[in-house]
Amino acid sequence: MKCEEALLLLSAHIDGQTTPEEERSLQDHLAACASCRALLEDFEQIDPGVADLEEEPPVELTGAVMERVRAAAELDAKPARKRRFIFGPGTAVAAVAAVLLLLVASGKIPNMRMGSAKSTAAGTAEATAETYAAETFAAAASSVPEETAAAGAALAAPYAGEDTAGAASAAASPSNAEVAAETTAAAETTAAASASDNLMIAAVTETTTAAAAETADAAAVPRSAGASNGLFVQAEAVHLLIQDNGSALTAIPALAGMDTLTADDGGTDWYVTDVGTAKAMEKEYGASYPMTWENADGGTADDAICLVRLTKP
Amino acid sequence: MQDELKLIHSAAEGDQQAFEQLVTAYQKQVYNLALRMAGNPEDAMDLSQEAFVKAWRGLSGYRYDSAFSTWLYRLTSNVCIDFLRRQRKSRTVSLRFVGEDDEEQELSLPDPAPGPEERVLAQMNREEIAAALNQLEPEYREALTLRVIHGLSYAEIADTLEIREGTVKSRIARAREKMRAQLLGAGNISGASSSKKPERRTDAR
Repeated sequence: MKCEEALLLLSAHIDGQTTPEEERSLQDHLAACASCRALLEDFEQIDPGVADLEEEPPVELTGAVMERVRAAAELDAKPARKRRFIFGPGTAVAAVAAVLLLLVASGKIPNMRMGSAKSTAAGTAEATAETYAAETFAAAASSVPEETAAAGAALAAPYAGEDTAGAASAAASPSNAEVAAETTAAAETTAAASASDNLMIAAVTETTTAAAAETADAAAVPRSAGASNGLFVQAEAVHLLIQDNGSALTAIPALAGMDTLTADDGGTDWYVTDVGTAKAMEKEYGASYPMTWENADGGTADDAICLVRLTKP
Repeated sequence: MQDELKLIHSAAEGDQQAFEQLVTAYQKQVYNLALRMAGNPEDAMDLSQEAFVKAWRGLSGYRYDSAFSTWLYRLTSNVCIDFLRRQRKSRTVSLRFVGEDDEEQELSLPDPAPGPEERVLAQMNREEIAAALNQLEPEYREALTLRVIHGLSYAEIADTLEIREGTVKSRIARAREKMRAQLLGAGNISGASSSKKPERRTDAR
């Protein structure tokens, strides 16, 4: 046996991890090799020294951990089973995301602000959620750059003018836009977020339950925080929040309790919603507010995502 | 063990008190792994907290297919390795040192078979051992820590670090070899140390 082999066996011998066969050949080698005997002796002295390095943790460790856990739990508006997104095909969500990104990026929605709360069909959210794939927004949103920037541009064209293709690719490139899924967990977002002026998309799950409302209150963030330069839209129970990272981080806990938010560019309100909701809106507001809506993939099913433009008289 | 499973289950459902009991039970092991990896108490405290908060958030993803301790150590290890990577980007540790004559020299490893007069490892103090351990590559340091401080078997370490048992075996052997080299060479490395303890010098052969 060479000393190099003996080194491995010596170490394993100390840990009691040698086979009887290895142990025999190691002992044979040790009997003949003084330097390996010395090595073993040293190893046996090092171990207790290393073991002795063990220290008691600071007494405040558990308390500090639990403080952070409480904060995290408060920010987690929803338990995992409710973290479902009602959108079906990921591409539809992604297309909407792309549209919104480019609208924001191209400045076509210049003065976005929170609208007043307007009720939508949020009450059916829980039932609806069960009928769709429990697909995470992250997965859907991540497909924006490759698959649906073009689709998004096409959809946005009627609203945003001719320069949308360029804006779409600019908005969809990772260097310009940070696309992130967020379920009101501000602490996690802080770690993931890059420059605060990057655009991000956050999905905030449905907020109609008391638990969520409590969370929003507990967060004690002014509800208007960060909302003046962002777009917050609701499609049934899922909210898409699009704004720069810095504002979004501030706004997410505050927004958890909101019902409906709209983008406002002066004379027009923008909504992202599903076709079913759009039809309901048209019924309710169509007479007094001229309204157009278009869905992402040309379908007319009630669950297709669409962008609604509502013109004020 | 049955109790622990109950605690894990409750904590995964959002029971903070159950989670607190798990934190209390494992804080020493998590902290000591972080301490040996980070090399200082301040970062170890931060990293321990980060590991536990990650555990809280990820608990519903714990699949019971490995021991909870294994899962938790793996998580801690990942947090620490990430931390060390971030650190390494901002500064690099040189293997060169400045000798007593202010002349930069390559660090020379001691002879593998030093004479009996150099057999003074037993007199090493804690700081020297901690410093020697801290000089090891993180992978070696981690394997030796999990073995000697946490008392894990090679199989458990392999499971924790998601490497093969053979790799664990060689990492630990290499870690011990390097520790020995560091400790025997301590008199050479530190001028102050060698002047106080000249008997530790290995160049007197």
